[in-house]
Amino acid sequence: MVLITHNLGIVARYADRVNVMYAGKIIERGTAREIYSNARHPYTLGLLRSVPRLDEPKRMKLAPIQGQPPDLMQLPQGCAFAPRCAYCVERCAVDVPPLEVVDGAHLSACWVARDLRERVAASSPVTA
Amino acid sequence: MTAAISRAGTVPSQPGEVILEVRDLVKHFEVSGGLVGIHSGVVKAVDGVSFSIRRGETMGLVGESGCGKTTTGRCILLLERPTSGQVIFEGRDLTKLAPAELRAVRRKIQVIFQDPYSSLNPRMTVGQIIAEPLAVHGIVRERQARNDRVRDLLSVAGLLQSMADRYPHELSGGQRQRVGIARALAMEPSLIVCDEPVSALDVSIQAQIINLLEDLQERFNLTYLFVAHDLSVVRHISDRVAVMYLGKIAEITDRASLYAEPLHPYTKALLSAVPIPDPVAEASRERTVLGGEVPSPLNPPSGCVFHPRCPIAIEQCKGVIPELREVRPAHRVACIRV
Repeated sequence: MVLITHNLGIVARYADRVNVMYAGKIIERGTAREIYSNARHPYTLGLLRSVPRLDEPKRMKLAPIQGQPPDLMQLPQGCAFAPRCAYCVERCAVDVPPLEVVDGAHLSACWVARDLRERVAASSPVTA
Repeated sequence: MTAAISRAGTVPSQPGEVILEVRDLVKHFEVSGGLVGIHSGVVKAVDGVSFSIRRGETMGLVGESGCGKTTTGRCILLLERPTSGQVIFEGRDLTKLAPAELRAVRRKIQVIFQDPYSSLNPRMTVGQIIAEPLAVHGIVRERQARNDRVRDLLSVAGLLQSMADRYPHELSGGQRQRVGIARALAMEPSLIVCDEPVSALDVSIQAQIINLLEDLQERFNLTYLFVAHDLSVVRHISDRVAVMYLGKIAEITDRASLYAEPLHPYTKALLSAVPIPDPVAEASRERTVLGGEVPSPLNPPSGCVFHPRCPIAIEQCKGVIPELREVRPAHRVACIRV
């Protein structure tokens, strides 16, 4: 079954494997457990942090992804998510990151995918 | 068939006076069928709903499609004239006001709709959309002052001032919803009915709008009636929550009690159906799946309207309409089995 949705809860309940798309491209791919517990793309991470969860204590503030989804007619050079990304580096504005293996069957299209967790830990004032 | 309760939802722990009280609200729609439009039935969209909201508070109103939550909101706005019952806003029953009086009071009650595209005039610029109510209600009569006010409102809603010259189709969904919020704020309301305000938005944008609504509430001491079907979002934003089923309130209490200790079998089923965005948590959850569909409000079941789908229904439930009664302090449930 192919399940197409923006509902992260439905995906968590029913999907075995997950592809995350942004601006016409698959930007992360892996097993559902990997994607939800160990996201390797800042967009996926942003989505997971932006939704309130019934099984967590109520947060004071949600952590939205800043900005707007891009205009598909005028995609930026480099990574399409870079203008909204809190962890982007110089290269992101120049080269489109390919969807590459990060770990086993877990793929991500992000130049900082390998040390994303360290970057998040270092920079994030609000943890989900 | 109205739930006989004396005074709905007076919660001592909440600050602020009661700003809105809905008493025994009923809205029936007559349905006609056939070629000659013969009267063929009555849809009991809202069937005896009572609750109150205190100033500065957010009341969540949840339920499945067709449960009457949107109609309840529209009756409070007097966009629908209630069949019976009272809508008491700041001490005055809106259902009894003359049109001129109603118009004056209405300024204080605004609405944010689900679909920010169909609720904005496509032929008007954003600036005109926000300026229109200021002119119509004579709030800011002078043109230049009005333009200044529009710019203020845009910035309050998190939009660039240059947006004033754009048309709705040029904006993203989130930006359109911000325009709808700016337009509502133009009237300096004290109560805003938010009817599924984030349901039509991208996931990445929903949190922006929720945060904005929370900031505005704090800044302007706004009171919200937050109508939605997403129980996670409602839990995040609400102080108290009412659960509706087929035109009636099934359960109403403060947020913490509703989510930690739901008492009505319908609330329990709804909560267990909410998926959690975590496959590990999902795998270990127990779920109550409700059988059947929501019955037609044209021909609701006898007794408790929930009994055909209820996992704990007994014979008596078919005959007795359960009263919404206080089972615990400030926790009201309409179920004879609780």
